[in-house]
Amino acid sequence: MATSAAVTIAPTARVSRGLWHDAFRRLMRNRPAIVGLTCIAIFVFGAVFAPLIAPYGPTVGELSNSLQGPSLAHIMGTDLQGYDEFSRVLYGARISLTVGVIAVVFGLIGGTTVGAIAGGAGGLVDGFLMRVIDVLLAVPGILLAIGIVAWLGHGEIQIMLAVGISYSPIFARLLRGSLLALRESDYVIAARSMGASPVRILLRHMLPNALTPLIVQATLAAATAIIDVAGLGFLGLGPGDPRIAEWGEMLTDSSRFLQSAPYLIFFPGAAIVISAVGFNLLGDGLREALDPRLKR
Amino acid sequence: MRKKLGSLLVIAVFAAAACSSSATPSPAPTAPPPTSAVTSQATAVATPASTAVEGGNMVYALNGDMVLADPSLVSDGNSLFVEAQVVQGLLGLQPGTISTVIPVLAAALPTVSADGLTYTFTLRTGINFQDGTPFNADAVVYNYNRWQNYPPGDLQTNAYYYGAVFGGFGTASNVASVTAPDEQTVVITLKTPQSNFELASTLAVFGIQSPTALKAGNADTTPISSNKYAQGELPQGQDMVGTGPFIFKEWVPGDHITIVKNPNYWDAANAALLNQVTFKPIGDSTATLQALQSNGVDAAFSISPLDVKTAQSSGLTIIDRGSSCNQLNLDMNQSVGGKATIYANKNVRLAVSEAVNKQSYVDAFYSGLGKVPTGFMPPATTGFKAETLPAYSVSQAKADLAASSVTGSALNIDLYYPSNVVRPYMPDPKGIATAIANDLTAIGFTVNLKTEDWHGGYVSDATSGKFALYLFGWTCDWAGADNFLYTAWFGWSGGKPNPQFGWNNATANQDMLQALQATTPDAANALWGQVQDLLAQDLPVVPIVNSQPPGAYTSKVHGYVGASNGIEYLNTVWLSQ
Amino acid sequence: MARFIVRRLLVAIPVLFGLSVILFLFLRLLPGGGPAEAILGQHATPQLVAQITATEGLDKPLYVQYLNYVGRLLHGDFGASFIDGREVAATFLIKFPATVELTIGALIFAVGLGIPLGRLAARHPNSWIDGIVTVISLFGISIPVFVLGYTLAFIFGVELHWLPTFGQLDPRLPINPVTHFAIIDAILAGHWYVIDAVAHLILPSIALGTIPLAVFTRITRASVIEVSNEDYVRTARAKGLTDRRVNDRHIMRNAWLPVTTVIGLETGALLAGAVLTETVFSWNGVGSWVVSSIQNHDYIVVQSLILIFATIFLTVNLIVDVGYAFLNPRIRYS
Repeated sequence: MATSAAVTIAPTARVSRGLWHDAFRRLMRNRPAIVGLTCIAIFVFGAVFAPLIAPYGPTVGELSNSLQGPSLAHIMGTDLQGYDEFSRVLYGARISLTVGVIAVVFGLIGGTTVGAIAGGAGGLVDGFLMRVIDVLLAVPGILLAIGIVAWLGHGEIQIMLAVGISYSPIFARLLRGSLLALRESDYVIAARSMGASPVRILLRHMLPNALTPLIVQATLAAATAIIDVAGLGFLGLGPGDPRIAEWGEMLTDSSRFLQSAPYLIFFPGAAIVISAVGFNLLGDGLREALDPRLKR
Repeated sequence: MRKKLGSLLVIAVFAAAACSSSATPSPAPTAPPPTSAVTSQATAVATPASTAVEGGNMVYALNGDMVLADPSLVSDGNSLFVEAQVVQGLLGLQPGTISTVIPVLAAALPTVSADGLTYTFTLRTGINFQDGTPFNADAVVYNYNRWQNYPPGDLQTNAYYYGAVFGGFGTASNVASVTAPDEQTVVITLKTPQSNFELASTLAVFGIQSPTALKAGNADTTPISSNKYAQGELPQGQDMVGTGPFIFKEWVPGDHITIVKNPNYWDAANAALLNQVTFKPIGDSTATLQALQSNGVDAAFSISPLDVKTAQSSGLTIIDRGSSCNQLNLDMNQSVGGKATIYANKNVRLAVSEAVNKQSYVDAFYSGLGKVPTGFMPPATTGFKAETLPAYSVSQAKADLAASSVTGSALNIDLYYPSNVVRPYMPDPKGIATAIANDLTAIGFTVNLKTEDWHGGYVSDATSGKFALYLFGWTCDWAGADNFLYTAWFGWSGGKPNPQFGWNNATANQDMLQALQATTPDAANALWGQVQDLLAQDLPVVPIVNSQPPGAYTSKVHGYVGASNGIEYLNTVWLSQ
Repeated sequence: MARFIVRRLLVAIPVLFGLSVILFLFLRLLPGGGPAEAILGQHATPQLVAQITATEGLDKPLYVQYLNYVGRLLHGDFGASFIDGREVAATFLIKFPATVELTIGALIFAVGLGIPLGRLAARHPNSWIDGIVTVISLFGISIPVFVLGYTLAFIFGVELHWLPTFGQLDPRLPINPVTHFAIIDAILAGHWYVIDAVAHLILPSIALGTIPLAVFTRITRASVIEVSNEDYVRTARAKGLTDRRVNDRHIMRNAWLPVTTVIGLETGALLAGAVLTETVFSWNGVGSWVVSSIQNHDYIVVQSLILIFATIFLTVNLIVDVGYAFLNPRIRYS
């Protein structure tokens, strides 16, 4: 899976309400980030209000009306089943954005759990868990995902899990790295010397401070997740029910119409590209906003 | 091919039926498979021999790689297509047809004894294998004995078709003996009469290879992974050595297979026109189309039916494959896991049959290269009987569904389709399943579309009876009623109906067994007709389409003769300029 | 340094061992039919399935199967495919060179274009040039490989007839497969056939290299900007060194460090991307092979291939880390 370069941000010092507030202000002043946020917002709006905006339902159509070019009745044309492409792009935002975000959430849950235990415990536990992570990292992500779908069968949840698991090693490493650095920081040593329990130190003092790089990486991963889901679809591992409008599935199903109906590739493709660009811009903006030392 | 044993241990004279109209007792002695006299719709442009140009190297896209270089050890279409150019059997099919049997290495169709047990072949003379050794009766005997005596293990499992046609290997084989009373005569004696003997003998797996090459190449080595002959690793002239118009030259697995013209072909009038054919496996249909359009390949065995219009508009010719030899069904299993499904209710089956708009599928997914079935197998199959199938009618379907008194959550059904597979009868499983689901939704079902990988569970789950409603089809091995109705679908095994359908009709099974043992073609066909009547009455499946899977070639290619069983001969093909 | 390498190699052993156990269990417990069903497809009968299961030893207890597998592996025997009965090692020798060529082609494209673009953007931060470079790299990351691949093939192959759209060589050329590196074989065959081999490599390399291109561009831009603000660069400028000299001697030398690391990380991504690219361009490599083997439940092939992939990945990263130490003498591995 196309993992963009791992984000390397040193964990920031103690996070306060003030710092989050500052970060937000910095984010709002970052023009590319605002563009990214807008891209995402437009699709979220389209997803939420799809029933009101879309001229048709996502599965309304006749076979006899298949592969019609864009017209007044169907501004983005119709697909092989005769469904209205515009309506499906709108409804598709629901599934695609959800799939992307949930996949990342799955990855975060898995990755942070492992990373927190490893980074918090250190020693042998750390050594063992990191070898496990090495094993996962050594297998190309898309193969891992293919294997998981082969195991669990076709379906949206399975795909989200597959993509999520293939991301989790990165999250685990990132969190563990931050935690290891924090273990030696002054305030953790102070807390430890005051007799706080290790679990409490981990949860109250270390984790909150190690979140920044995770948030940034998660935002960037949301972009790749949408593309990776499309890649799985291309290999015949998409969600089982083709009536569900999902950009990746729409794109892969249409890739064979490159010559006869290019508009079927263009519109879902554009939706994927725009939302991925949106998440990327937002991620970059967040990185700069959350780490004030990174000057543009 | 579950119950092949029974299916193939068949009685007698029915053989002649396979040869149908053309089986006149005196086939022209010089009518090898690739006759230039063949008139095919495919070759409208073609090719008075005078304008044909010799020479050239054609690149031909297959949709997958060859599996093994020994034709007796393969059962997949790609291997058989390549090997049929190089290796010939005693009998073959008239090019462009699926059931017209003609003699190839035999001088005439065999004479059959009255009890249907003894087939006597007179061989052509003066033929040499491509390694220069003579083709004669001993060579034929050597090949037949070799197949029959494959040891248990990977040779037997790979030699699927021999086991399927003759019911097994060694003593289990239905072949009692193969003898050579003289140089020119081969006598094959069966233990039980077998009506499909001649038609099944046309399969490319029964091609005769040079005994000298087979011995020198240790072709019976097992495991196959260390069998250099089967792996095609021996030099040209020592591997896949047959009598055909092309010689096997080279195989780089996954990349290409090369065959070259046989300069000493025994039938000079039908020698290859091309100097060389390079087969290129291209698995992806979009990539195949682009390769054709960019002249990277000259011809492709298959393109997606959805690309037919695009292909034509960019100057490509679609291969006309004539009458279909396949069928896609929507199977309705009446019993899953020992429990009756809603499809055990005849009114539900009727409603489903009437709900599906088959013509719209043919138009949308097959570009019209297919026909709505008029029965339970392709019309060109021997033993076919046309039936009156339920017509498309939403209102009638709704009425029948109401009459079934199946309501509520029982109308919430699963429809399975396979992933990661394209079959000639099923170019877009996902698309056609979606369309069917929409049609069923229109009459009141709630349809959940589900999928499994074709190899990764779909086939085994479908055939073991885990699905209730699902897509399944068959491409003929040979174009006989037994191959579709008994072998592929409805034959019983172990005294029980095929779990794939749960169609518990003992009469139909009895009729099929009798048809397999009928003594005259007419009697056999009458019995097959009765079976088809029972099918029409019970409707255990909905026949969806008989397709003509398209291939394509560029404007440089001439003389191509298409056939829907997947075997086409390239010796008549030539390239302009 | 030697100790560092040895330690890394020792760590790789438990990783590969763990991977082999996990892979073995994972593949054997996959639902939905074994290789016997996959080989036979619709021709499967219970008898034939039982026969194959017996000949392939699939009926033995799992640990026996595993030990057999590892035993053969230690003798350098990677086993044979269930599907075509061909030695994994033999097929690998044909297909791996193709993937190596494709990966190198993609890296050349990505590094060759990405670093200049990144430097260009970093020179004029926040200018319109920077903006364009950023947008291009973002689009590069965001376009699915197969869409890019088909589109490139359509434009440059079908419409313009400039470049071939499939395979590594024109099958009409008389080139003997000696090494299975298409370019080397073409050179050996003479007649400037090498031009044909390079032409075949261009489109797949671009399709596969676009995501790494975007990554390299961004990393180069970021690290050049960061290094430019370092004191020693300012000092160098203050000394009156030419721009060019500052760039070459001070900025790029240090900016290379993160770029090198990323090259290592991206090798894994390239192998993954190759899975899709090879399908689109009918490239006879290991990527498409492993996918079809997974789908066919061809255990032996999948097991062996993924172990080989993992070994390659670990090796490349070791090389990258060693190279890193050479580039940056401040780092001492101990």
